[in-house]
Amino acid sequence: MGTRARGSTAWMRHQVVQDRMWRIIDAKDQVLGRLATQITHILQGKHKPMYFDNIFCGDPIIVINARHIALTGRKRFNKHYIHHTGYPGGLKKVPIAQVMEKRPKDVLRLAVKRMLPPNRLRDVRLSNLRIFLDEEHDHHSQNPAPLPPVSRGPRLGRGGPPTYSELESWWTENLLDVPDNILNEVVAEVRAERDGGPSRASHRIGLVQALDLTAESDYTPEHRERIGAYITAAEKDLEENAIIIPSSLA
Amino acid sequence: MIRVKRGNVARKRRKNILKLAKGFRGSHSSLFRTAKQQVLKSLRYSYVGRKNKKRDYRRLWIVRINAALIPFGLTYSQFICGLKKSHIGLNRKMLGQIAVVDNNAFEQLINITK
Repeated sequence: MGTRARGSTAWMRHQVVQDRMWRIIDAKDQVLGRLATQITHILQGKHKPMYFDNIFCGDPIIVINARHIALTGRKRFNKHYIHHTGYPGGLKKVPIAQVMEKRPKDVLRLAVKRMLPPNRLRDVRLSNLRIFLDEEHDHHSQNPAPLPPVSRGPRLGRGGPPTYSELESWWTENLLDVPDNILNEVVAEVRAERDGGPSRASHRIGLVQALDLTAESDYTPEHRERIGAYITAAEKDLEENAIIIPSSLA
Repeated sequence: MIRVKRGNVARKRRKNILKLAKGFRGSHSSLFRTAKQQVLKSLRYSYVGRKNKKRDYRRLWIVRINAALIPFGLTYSQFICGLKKSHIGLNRKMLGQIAVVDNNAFEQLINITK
């Protein structure tokens, strides 16, 4: 082994491999694409001053809670994975719900793969992405450093269905006075939606109805505004999509 | 007419071409005819490669500088803008190297540009 002078290419190449550090990200409520850009950045090692484009110099990443990844807008219902078999009429469209059900890890894996530069390092980099569907993972002995989540998930009232945990925290913050049976009803509605249910209109209606039951004095102007927005959006949804409100709530 | 044989010259010419074709794949390094074509092509490639090298390295240094700036909350473009404004003429190769080898110097540069 020759000497590696400090600052030389050989030294840097050695260092960057030495400094490799495992990372862990919680994918819960993270928006798919935004999470994937963060991951590709680190898998490529673009956060290191000793970056090389011809060796693998990124950090291995563990992703937990991949099952609870968030999609914005109506992508949960609209997004398809498209490929062509090469035969006439061979265009295949796989809805994301199906992929989520059959190979849930592939949703994130494909997003990352398609963001990485298509070269020989892509497979190496991709193999350093370890995806786990739930809280637990197999890499405690690597002592991974947690990465802060970038996005706070899709926002309430922004067209798309809010994420489950977001709604739940909103409930606990704003709806302490709601009778249990109504709350359970609406939470069940939201759950059903999270698992690929029909629309966001129904839970919006439920939300509004439940809010009507809370004491008026509890509302801040901000709450009022949000409730107003919810009512408008829900009504619009009902018109467009002809969603049926659960009879218990109507 | 006197018959001219080019023995010596022809051998030399072929030898020189084959010399340039050393390490080429298959017949490209052994048969004169294919070797000559490949040598012409290879010289063109290496000419282009010498130009591309400059671009490739510049890109690499920029990525490195950008990475080194992350802890300081700066981006590459902001940093370079600052350098320009404070009339610092260090090139990207030097900056990339400073960022790795001499943290203090790099920090001072950032302070100047801020």
